[in-house]
Amino acid sequence: MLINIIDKNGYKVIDVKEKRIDASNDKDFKDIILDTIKKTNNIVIDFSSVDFIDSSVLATLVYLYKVCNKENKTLHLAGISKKLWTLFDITGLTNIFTIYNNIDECIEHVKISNE
Amino acid sequence: MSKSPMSKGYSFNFTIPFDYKHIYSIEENIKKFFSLMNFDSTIENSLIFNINLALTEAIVNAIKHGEGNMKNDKIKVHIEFDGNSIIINVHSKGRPFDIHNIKKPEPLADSGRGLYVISCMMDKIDLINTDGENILIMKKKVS
Repeated sequence: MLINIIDKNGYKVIDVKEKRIDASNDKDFKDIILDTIKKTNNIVIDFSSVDFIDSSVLATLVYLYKVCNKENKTLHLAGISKKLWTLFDITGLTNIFTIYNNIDECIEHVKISNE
Repeated sequence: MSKSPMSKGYSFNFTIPFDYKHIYSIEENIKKFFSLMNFDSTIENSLIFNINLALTEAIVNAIKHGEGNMKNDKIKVHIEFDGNSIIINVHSKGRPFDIHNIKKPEPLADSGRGLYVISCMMDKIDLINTDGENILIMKKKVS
Protein backbone atom coordinates (compact mmCIF):
# COMPACT_ATOMS: atom_id res chain seq x y z
CA MET A 1 0.00 0.00 0.00
CA LEU A 2 1.30 3.42 -0.97
CA ILE A 3 1.33 5.70 2.07
CA ASN A 4 3.56 8.65 2.94
CA ILE A 5 3.91 9.64 6.59
CA ILE A 6 4.97 13.23 7.20
CA ASP A 7 5.52 15.22 10.44
CA LYS A 8 3.64 18.50 10.50
CA ASN A 9 3.25 20.71 13.58
CA GLY A 10 3.19 17.84 16.06
CA TYR A 11 0.94 15.74 13.85
CA LYS A 12 1.75 12.61 11.89
CA VAL A 13 0.08 13.16 8.53
CA ILE A 14 -0.78 9.85 6.88
CA ASP A 15 -1.07 10.60 3.19
CA VAL A 16 -2.82 7.64 1.54
CA LYS A 17 -1.72 7.38 -2.09
CA GLU A 18 -4.10 4.59 -3.12
CA LYS A 19 -7.14 5.33 -5.30
CA ARG A 20 -9.10 2.42 -3.87
CA ILE A 21 -9.14 0.92 -0.37
CA ASP A 22 -11.46 -2.04 0.15
CA ALA A 23 -11.61 -5.45 1.84
CA SER A 24 -8.61 -6.60 -0.24
CA ASN A 25 -6.08 -4.06 1.08
CA ASP A 26 -7.81 -2.78 4.21
CA LYS A 27 -5.59 -4.86 6.50
CA ASP A 28 -2.41 -3.15 5.24
CA PHE A 29 -4.08 0.22 5.77
CA LYS A 30 -5.06 -0.75 9.33
CA ASP A 31 -1.59 -2.10 10.23
CA ILE A 32 0.24 1.00 8.98
CA ILE A 33 -2.01 3.33 10.97
CA LEU A 34 -1.88 1.18 14.11
CA ASP A 35 1.89 1.26 13.87
CA THR A 36 1.81 5.06 13.58
CA ILE A 37 -0.58 5.36 16.55
CA LYS A 38 1.96 3.47 18.68
CA LYS A 39 4.60 6.10 17.91
CA THR A 40 2.65 9.33 18.28
CA ASN A 41 -0.32 11.07 19.93
CA ASN A 42 -1.82 13.08 17.07
CA ILE A 43 -2.70 11.58 13.73
CA VAL A 44 -4.51 12.88 10.69
CA ILE A 45 -5.30 10.69 7.68
CA ASP A 46 -5.32 12.47 4.32
CA PHE A 47 -7.83 10.89 1.91
CA SER A 48 -7.42 13.43 -0.89
CA SER A 49 -5.92 10.84 -3.29
CA VAL A 50 -8.57 8.22 -2.44
CA ASP A 51 -11.55 7.85 -4.83
CA PHE A 52 -13.16 4.77 -3.34
CA ILE A 53 -13.54 3.04 0.02
CA ASP A 54 -15.98 0.34 1.12
CA SER A 55 -17.58 -0.37 4.49
CA SER A 56 -14.65 -2.51 5.66
CA VAL A 57 -12.61 0.71 5.71
CA LEU A 58 -15.32 2.40 7.78
CA ALA A 59 -15.15 -0.48 10.28
CA THR A 60 -11.35 -0.09 10.40
CA LEU A 61 -11.65 3.67 11.02
CA VAL A 62 -14.10 3.02 13.88
CA TYR A 63 -11.66 0.48 15.33
CA LEU A 64 -8.79 2.98 15.08
CA TYR A 65 -10.97 5.69 16.63
CA LYS A 66 -11.65 3.40 19.61
CA VAL A 67 -7.93 2.61 20.01
CA CYS A 68 -7.07 6.33 20.00
CA ASN A 69 -9.85 7.18 22.43
CA LYS A 70 -8.70 4.52 24.86
CA GLU A 71 -5.14 5.79 24.72
CA ASN A 72 -6.11 9.47 24.83
CA LYS A 73 -4.81 10.16 21.34
CA THR A 74 -6.41 12.12 18.52
CA LEU A 75 -7.30 10.80 15.09
CA HIS A 76 -8.62 13.28 12.53
CA LEU A 77 -9.56 12.84 8.87
CA ALA A 78 -9.01 15.22 5.95
CA GLY A 79 -9.50 15.53 2.19
CA ILE A 80 -12.63 13.38 1.90
CA SER A 81 -14.26 13.84 -1.52
CA LYS A 82 -17.95 14.66 -1.95
CA LYS A 83 -18.76 11.11 -3.01
CA LEU A 84 -16.93 9.54 -0.06
CA TRP A 85 -18.58 12.08 2.23
CA THR A 86 -21.97 10.52 1.35
CA LEU A 87 -20.74 7.20 2.71
CA PHE A 88 -19.45 8.79 5.94
CA ASP A 89 -22.71 10.72 6.25
CA ILE A 90 -25.20 7.83 5.79
CA THR A 91 -23.32 5.70 8.32
CA GLY A 92 -23.13 8.47 10.92
CA LEU A 93 -19.33 8.70 10.92
CA THR A 94 -19.43 12.44 10.19
CA ASN A 95 -20.70 12.81 13.79
CA ILE A 96 -17.80 10.86 15.23
CA PHE A 97 -14.77 12.14 13.42
CA THR A 98 -13.52 15.68 13.05
CA ILE A 99 -13.16 15.95 9.30
CA TYR A 100 -11.20 18.79 7.66
CA ASN A 101 -11.35 19.88 4.02
CA ASN A 102 -7.60 19.44 3.72
CA ILE A 103 -4.44 18.90 5.78
CA ASP A 104 -3.54 22.62 5.96
CA GLU A 105 -6.95 23.43 7.43
CA CYS A 106 -6.47 20.70 10.03
CA ILE A 107 -2.98 21.87 11.03
CA GLU A 108 -4.08 25.52 11.12
CA HIS A 109 -7.04 24.65 13.34
CA VAL A 110 -4.87 22.66 15.73
CA LYS A 111 -2.33 25.51 15.88
CA ILE A 112 -5.03 28.06 16.81
CA SER A 113 -6.55 25.70 19.42
CA ASN A 114 -3.12 25.32 21.08
CA GLU A 115 -2.35 29.03 21.20
CA MET B 1 -31.29 9.08 -20.10
CA SER B 2 -29.54 6.90 -22.57
CA LYS B 3 -28.34 8.48 -25.77
CA SER B 4 -27.81 5.22 -27.57
CA PRO B 5 -30.66 3.26 -29.15
CA MET B 6 -28.55 0.15 -28.56
CA SER B 7 -28.50 0.60 -24.77
CA LYS B 8 -31.94 -0.75 -23.88
CA GLY B 9 -31.84 -4.42 -23.08
CA TYR B 10 -28.06 -4.47 -23.20
CA SER B 11 -26.56 -6.89 -20.71
CA PHE B 12 -23.09 -7.66 -19.47
CA ASN B 13 -21.70 -10.61 -17.48
CA PHE B 14 -18.55 -11.18 -15.48
CA THR B 15 -17.30 -13.47 -12.71
CA ILE B 16 -15.19 -12.95 -9.59
CA PRO B 17 -13.49 -15.75 -7.62
CA PHE B 18 -14.39 -16.13 -3.92
CA ASP B 19 -11.28 -14.22 -2.92
CA TYR B 20 -10.89 -10.62 -1.77
CA LYS B 21 -7.80 -10.06 -3.89
CA HIS B 22 -9.90 -10.00 -7.07
CA ILE B 23 -12.45 -7.40 -6.01
CA TYR B 24 -10.54 -4.52 -7.64
CA SER B 25 -11.82 -5.89 -10.97
CA ILE B 26 -15.42 -4.93 -10.06
CA GLU B 27 -14.66 -1.31 -10.92
CA GLU B 28 -13.03 -2.19 -14.26
CA ASN B 29 -16.06 -4.28 -15.24
CA ILE B 30 -18.57 -1.59 -14.25
CA LYS B 31 -16.61 0.94 -16.30
CA LYS B 32 -16.66 -1.45 -19.27
CA PHE B 33 -20.45 -1.74 -18.98
CA PHE B 34 -20.85 2.05 -18.79
CA SER B 35 -18.50 2.68 -21.70
CA LEU B 36 -20.95 0.70 -23.85
CA MET B 37 -24.06 2.43 -22.47
CA ASN B 38 -23.28 5.98 -23.55
CA PHE B 39 -25.09 7.72 -20.66
CA ASP B 40 -24.70 11.43 -20.02
CA SER B 41 -21.37 11.92 -18.20
CA THR B 42 -22.85 13.62 -15.09
CA ILE B 43 -25.35 10.79 -14.63
CA GLU B 44 -22.65 8.26 -15.38
CA ASN B 45 -20.23 9.62 -12.73
CA SER B 46 -22.63 9.31 -9.84
CA LEU B 47 -24.09 6.00 -11.09
CA ILE B 48 -20.64 4.43 -11.40
CA PHE B 49 -19.81 5.40 -7.81
CA ASN B 50 -23.11 4.10 -6.38
CA ILE B 51 -23.04 0.84 -8.35
CA ASN B 52 -19.34 0.25 -7.72
CA LEU B 53 -19.94 0.65 -3.99
CA ALA B 54 -23.13 -1.46 -3.83
CA LEU B 55 -21.61 -4.23 -5.93
CA THR B 56 -18.37 -4.23 -3.92
CA GLU B 57 -20.40 -4.54 -0.70
CA ALA B 58 -22.50 -7.36 -2.23
CA ILE B 59 -19.44 -9.30 -3.37
CA VAL B 60 -17.51 -8.78 -0.11
CA ASN B 61 -20.62 -9.99 1.70
CA ALA B 62 -20.82 -13.08 -0.53
CA ILE B 63 -17.15 -13.90 0.13
CA LYS B 64 -17.38 -13.21 3.89
CA HIS B 65 -20.65 -15.03 4.65
CA GLY B 66 -21.10 -17.28 1.61
CA GLU B 67 -20.13 -20.86 1.14
CA GLY B 68 -18.11 -20.60 -2.01
CA ASN B 69 -14.84 -22.42 -2.47
CA MET B 70 -11.90 -20.17 -3.27
CA LYS B 71 -10.50 -22.55 -5.91
CA ASN B 72 -13.59 -23.75 -7.78
CA ASP B 73 -16.50 -21.40 -7.23
CA LYS B 74 -17.09 -18.01 -8.73
CA ILE B 75 -19.50 -15.20 -8.02
CA LYS B 76 -21.45 -14.43 -11.18
CA VAL B 77 -22.57 -10.89 -11.93
CA HIS B 78 -25.13 -9.93 -14.55
CA ILE B 79 -25.78 -6.23 -15.28
CA GLU B 80 -28.45 -4.93 -17.62
CA PHE B 81 -30.28 -1.73 -18.52
CA ASP B 82 -34.04 -2.10 -19.14
CA GLY B 83 -34.58 1.42 -20.47
CA ASN B 84 -35.30 2.88 -17.00
CA SER B 85 -33.12 1.13 -14.47
CA ILE B 86 -29.83 -0.65 -14.19
CA ILE B 87 -30.44 -4.12 -12.77
CA ILE B 88 -27.61 -6.09 -11.22
CA ASN B 89 -27.89 -9.75 -10.25
CA VAL B 90 -25.22 -11.29 -8.04
CA HIS B 91 -25.22 -15.12 -7.96
CA SER B 92 -23.24 -16.83 -5.20
CA LYS B 93 -23.25 -19.98 -3.07
CA GLY B 94 -24.54 -19.41 0.44
CA ARG B 95 -27.42 -19.37 2.87
CA PRO B 96 -30.18 -16.74 2.47
CA PHE B 97 -29.97 -13.54 4.51
CA ASP B 98 -32.62 -11.03 5.54
CA ILE B 99 -32.81 -8.00 3.30
CA HIS B 100 -36.22 -6.76 4.46
CA ASN B 101 -35.25 -5.54 7.93
CA ILE B 102 -32.08 -3.65 7.21
CA LYS B 103 -31.47 -1.13 9.98
CA LYS B 104 -29.06 1.77 10.12
CA PRO B 105 -26.09 0.49 12.17
CA GLU B 106 -24.87 2.43 15.20
CA PRO B 107 -22.04 4.77 14.17
CA LEU B 108 -19.62 2.99 16.53
CA ALA B 109 -20.64 -0.55 15.50
CA ASP B 110 -17.65 -2.84 14.89
CA SER B 111 -19.15 -4.18 11.64
CA GLY B 112 -22.45 -4.77 9.81
CA ARG B 113 -22.64 -1.75 7.48
CA GLY B 114 -22.54 -3.59 4.14
CA LEU B 115 -26.24 -4.30 3.52
CA TYR B 116 -27.24 -0.90 4.85
CA VAL B 117 -24.84 0.79 2.42
CA ILE B 118 -26.28 -1.28 -0.47
CA SER B 119 -29.83 -0.24 0.51
CA CYS B 120 -28.78 3.44 0.50
CA MET B 121 -27.00 3.25 -2.88
CA MET B 122 -29.76 1.32 -4.69
CA ASP B 123 -33.49 1.98 -5.16
CA LYS B 124 -34.62 -1.60 -4.65
CA ILE B 125 -33.04 -4.84 -3.51
CA ASP B 126 -34.34 -8.38 -3.47
CA LEU B 127 -32.99 -11.84 -2.68
CA ILE B 128 -33.87 -15.21 -4.16
CA ASN B 129 -32.36 -18.40 -2.76
CA THR B 130 -32.65 -21.67 -4.62
CA ASP B 131 -30.64 -24.84 -4.01
CA GLY B 132 -28.04 -23.08 -1.90
CA GLU B 133 -27.51 -20.27 -4.37
CA ASN B 134 -28.30 -16.66 -3.49
CA ILE B 135 -29.30 -14.23 -6.20
CA LEU B 136 -29.15 -10.67 -4.90
CA ILE B 137 -31.06 -8.38 -7.24
CA MET B 138 -30.26 -4.66 -7.05
CA LYS B 139 -32.02 -1.95 -9.06
CA LYS B 140 -30.96 1.65 -9.65
CA LYS B 141 -33.10 4.05 -11.62
CA VAL B 142 -31.29 6.07 -14.29
CA SER B 143 -32.49 9.67 -14.11
